[in-house]
Amino acid sequence: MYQESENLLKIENLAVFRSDLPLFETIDFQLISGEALQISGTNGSGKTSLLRCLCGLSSRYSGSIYWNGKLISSNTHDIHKQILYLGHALGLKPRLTVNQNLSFYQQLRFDADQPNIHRALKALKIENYLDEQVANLSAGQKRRVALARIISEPVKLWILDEPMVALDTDGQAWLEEVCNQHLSKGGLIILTSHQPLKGIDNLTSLTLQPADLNAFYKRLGEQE
Amino acid sequence: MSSSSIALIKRELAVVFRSKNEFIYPVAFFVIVTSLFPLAVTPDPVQLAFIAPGVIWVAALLSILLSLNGFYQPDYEEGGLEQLLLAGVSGTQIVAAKSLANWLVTGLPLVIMAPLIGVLFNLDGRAIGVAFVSLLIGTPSLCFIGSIGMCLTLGLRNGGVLLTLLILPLFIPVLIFGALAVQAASLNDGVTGQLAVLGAMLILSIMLSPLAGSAAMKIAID
Amino acid sequence: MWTWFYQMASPKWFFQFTEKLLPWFKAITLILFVVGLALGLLFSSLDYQQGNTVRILYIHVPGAFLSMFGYVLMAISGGIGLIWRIKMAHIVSVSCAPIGAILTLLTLITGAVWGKPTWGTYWEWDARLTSYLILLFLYLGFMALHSAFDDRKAADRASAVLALVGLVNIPIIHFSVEWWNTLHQGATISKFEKPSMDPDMLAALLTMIAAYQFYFLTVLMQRIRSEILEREKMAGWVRKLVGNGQQ
Repeated sequence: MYQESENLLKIENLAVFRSDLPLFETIDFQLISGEALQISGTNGSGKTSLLRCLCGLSSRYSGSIYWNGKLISSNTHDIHKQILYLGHALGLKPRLTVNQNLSFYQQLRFDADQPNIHRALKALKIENYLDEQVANLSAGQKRRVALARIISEPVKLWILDEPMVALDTDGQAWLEEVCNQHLSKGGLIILTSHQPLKGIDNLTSLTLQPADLNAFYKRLGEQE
Repeated sequence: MSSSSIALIKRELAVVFRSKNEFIYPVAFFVIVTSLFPLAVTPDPVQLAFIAPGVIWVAALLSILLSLNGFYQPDYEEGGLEQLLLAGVSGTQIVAAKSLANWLVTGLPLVIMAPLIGVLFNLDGRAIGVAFVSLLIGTPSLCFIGSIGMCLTLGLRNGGVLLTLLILPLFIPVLIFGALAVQAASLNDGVTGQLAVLGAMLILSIMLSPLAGSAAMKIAID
Repeated sequence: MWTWFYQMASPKWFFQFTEKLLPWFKAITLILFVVGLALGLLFSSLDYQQGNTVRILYIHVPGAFLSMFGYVLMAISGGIGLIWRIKMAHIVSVSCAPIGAILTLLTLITGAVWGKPTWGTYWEWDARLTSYLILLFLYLGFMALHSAFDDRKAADRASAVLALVGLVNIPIIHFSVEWWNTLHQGATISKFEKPSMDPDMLAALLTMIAAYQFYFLTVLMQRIRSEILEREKMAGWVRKLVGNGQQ
């Protein structure tokens, strides 16, 4: 499993852009081992774009993102491995079975460790679908398969985009419980959700304020 | 080759072979397109042997062009490419592995099928042999070069038409030397020069295409 | 050197700098064209084989030269933009494409017109013409790719990658096509070392190349300036400039 040492994600003066326009007012925050952050905001406020910047997938931001004191923009490859990101697109191959999908990703990061996958699927109550093609699963089941990766690939930082979507109450309760376990082991979690997440410990909340475009244009206008 | 590249190639192959007949399409396309030429041009054996090198090479090139999309676009849309990057696979590894898998599934069957087409087109034994070898060296270049165009057009509307416009000019050198080799063989000339150039192009495309493809892929994901 | 480089990289500085430069470039272009065309079409000696048709050389050869130059400039500035993330370099790259494409088209058309009396056909699949046809495809691909993106930054970067790939390919394409078919007469330009051309023909040709070069730079400057205005339309200095223009 992961080291017990403290990990730190630090964001300074971050603005995220979509076609040259800032999406939200600049934000600063830091997150240390054992802390979770819920990012909220209206539709189109840039939650997903922010998460993609934090993962190092997108470079459309200004400001600095540090992981353990290193800028992620210059150490993208190393930092990628310590992040598990689940977005709207789940990254599952519909043609392959649940087991093939999960063990492929697991193999890329770790040596094959089948019991983990089993354990994850069992906890999610989809262990019977191990050899079923992902294409034959329902939306909620696919989401559960993708979420099983947070068990089967133990990494420090989870970045989850709307993980509660398409999950039933059982699934949501399970997710909250797993998040708490992760935090107690010194993990970090950043997630977006439209619903309040009362079950997660140490959860701080950050609401993205839509950027004041008039002020942005004004600043541009004053630039000589 | 690293273990993650091997895992990736295996996965690509598994995806293709899961569907029972999809990997047949490019070969079927190859055979059907080539068999249109005797119908459209002439059934005369002498003339068929004359146009055969060009027909075989153009048809092989088009089948590979058609096969590219299936290896990149779904993975991009399903979020597979970004998950691969996050799992620590580099962009160049992804492109190289996908190009290789693409060739194994599409290029290799074309190479194997080519002698049959040669017989249908009345090519002599030596020309058929050279067609086989030239396709064996040339088609992997096409898969590698094609990956650049494919990564550049990921997620674009009308990506398919654009892909054709971008990539066909880059295919021309391979086409020229591939077809020239077969032509020279059917005229009983030496073919070493042409095959050597095809080999050089293969090395160059294996070295450079993954770099360009990876840069293009990251722009698409960004 | 470096301060100059950074100044050049600032769109505003470039815009103001070229404001003063542009009239001079226009004037030089005009003078060079008048002199070059007069030398080439009226005063230069005739080729003993081709007669008057050789005069199309003064339009064809500079076009061929500049369309290649345009592609190299486009690819290199695209590469600079890609590596050092300089906005101005992408603007230069994108502005090169249509000029280069038009010059390539001009080369093809004048080549075909030249071909009719020389070879007896408008189109001959000879090595040089075929290379330029492929060059035209490369230019069209670049422009099509750039316009296919909704997002300008992605468009700039993707088309720069394509231009660089094309740059690596141009010599390979040229060499393949040469091998494939060498019907064309030997390269005219490479004979500069030991000029088999008459000195007056050479003078006319060099003047025309200079004229095309200045034409290219003048139009490029103009295109860059409009591209800057388009991209920086929200910036204060552009709004002030445009506002003053209207009132």
